[in-house]
Amino acid sequence: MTEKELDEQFDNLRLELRRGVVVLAVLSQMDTARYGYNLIQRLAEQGLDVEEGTLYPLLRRLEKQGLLESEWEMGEARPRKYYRISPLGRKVLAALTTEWNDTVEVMHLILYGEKHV
Amino acid sequence: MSELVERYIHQVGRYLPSKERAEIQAELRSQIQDQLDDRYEGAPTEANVAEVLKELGDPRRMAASYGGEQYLVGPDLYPVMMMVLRRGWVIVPPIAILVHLLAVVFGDESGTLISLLLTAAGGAFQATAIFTGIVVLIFAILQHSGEDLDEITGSDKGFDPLALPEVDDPAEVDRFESILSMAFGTFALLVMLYFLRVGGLTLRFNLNDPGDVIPVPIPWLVALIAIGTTQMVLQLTALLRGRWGVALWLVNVALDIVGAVTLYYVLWLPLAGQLFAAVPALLNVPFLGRGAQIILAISIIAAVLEGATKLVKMAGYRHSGPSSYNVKAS
Repeated sequence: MTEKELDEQFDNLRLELRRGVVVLAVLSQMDTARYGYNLIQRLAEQGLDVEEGTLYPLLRRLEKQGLLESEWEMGEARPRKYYRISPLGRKVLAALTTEWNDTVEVMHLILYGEKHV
Repeated sequence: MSELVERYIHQVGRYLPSKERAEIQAELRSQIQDQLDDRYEGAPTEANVAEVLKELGDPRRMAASYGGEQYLVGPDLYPVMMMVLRRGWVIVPPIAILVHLLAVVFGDESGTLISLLLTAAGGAFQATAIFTGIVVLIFAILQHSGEDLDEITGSDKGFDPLALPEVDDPAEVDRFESILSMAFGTFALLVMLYFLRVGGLTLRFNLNDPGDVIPVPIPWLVALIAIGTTQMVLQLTALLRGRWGVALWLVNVALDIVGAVTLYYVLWLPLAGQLFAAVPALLNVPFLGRGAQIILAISIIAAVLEGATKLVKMAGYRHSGPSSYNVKAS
């Protein structure tokens, strides 16, 4: 396997690992209504870089699944689509957060052989 | 809005399902603008815009990530495929029945009326099934070959925003038109190869028993197959490049004209010959007596007109400049 192929394979694995995490991160930030670019900045400020090409379609997908609600805001410099978490999204966020905490706990045990404190 | 941004959004839109296209494009436009404003405070150079677009990635991939699940033929192509199929289902069976009946009328095949009708219907059914199979296959290949095609055409070197085609460029390939003509082209080519095998016109699609064959001059048939194949290659080249160049288009129009002449010798002349041999009185009917020549003239005129119209549009086309804000020259 060449170095390029190895890089590609690692990238794929990393993307796979991150896919679910990004959904959780996005849902957690949507109590306030946000537009796409604003959310990207918000996540980046906290250390999570998400590509535009990933995030914009994701917002739309979550809206289709009923986890987010959206509204076009026409009063600003340009029309912007604002997203906010829906009641269903809140329930899913709570369940996903529990799942995430359990996963961290278990993975810590698996990777380091001890309970996460 | 920067003209380059519009070109990008236009390209993304080409691969989106029509139902959602306008909204996704509007959202994408405002998101790109937000990003440009934030980074360059409203005065981005063209190079800046290109950089932001490059981060967004190839328009086709961008559109695909809005698409969700994968299908044999995805939601963006499915309506187009059904449109092609519906047209084909209307056109193919009557042609198949007509050619079959012509062969029966002018040949010496005997049998009861019912058995003749049954074989005609069988031929029509076979032709329609073959046509449907070819169309679905072409669409499935188009749906799933996106990235491989990129590699073949050399566009895997990375996406270059500055090379995005213009909006409303008359040289831009109309995907529907292109797929439609490729589907019909493939079908017609297979039929021609079958004619070549059995030595003439018949639509029974049975190699062992082609029924009564209307003989056609074989060199002209070979020429027609060669022209058809070349035009399919041209069509595919244009589809992969995304646009027709002047040279490519000229070759295509020239082939249209030569093809019309070839079709005259392969199809119209033999059919007219059979018709007049069976019913000589028809020769004296005005226009009908010269029917084959009239069809030839009309197809040549149509090819020249279509070719010239597009050439004039390509020559006269200048893209409009940026509208809502200015992009500084880089």
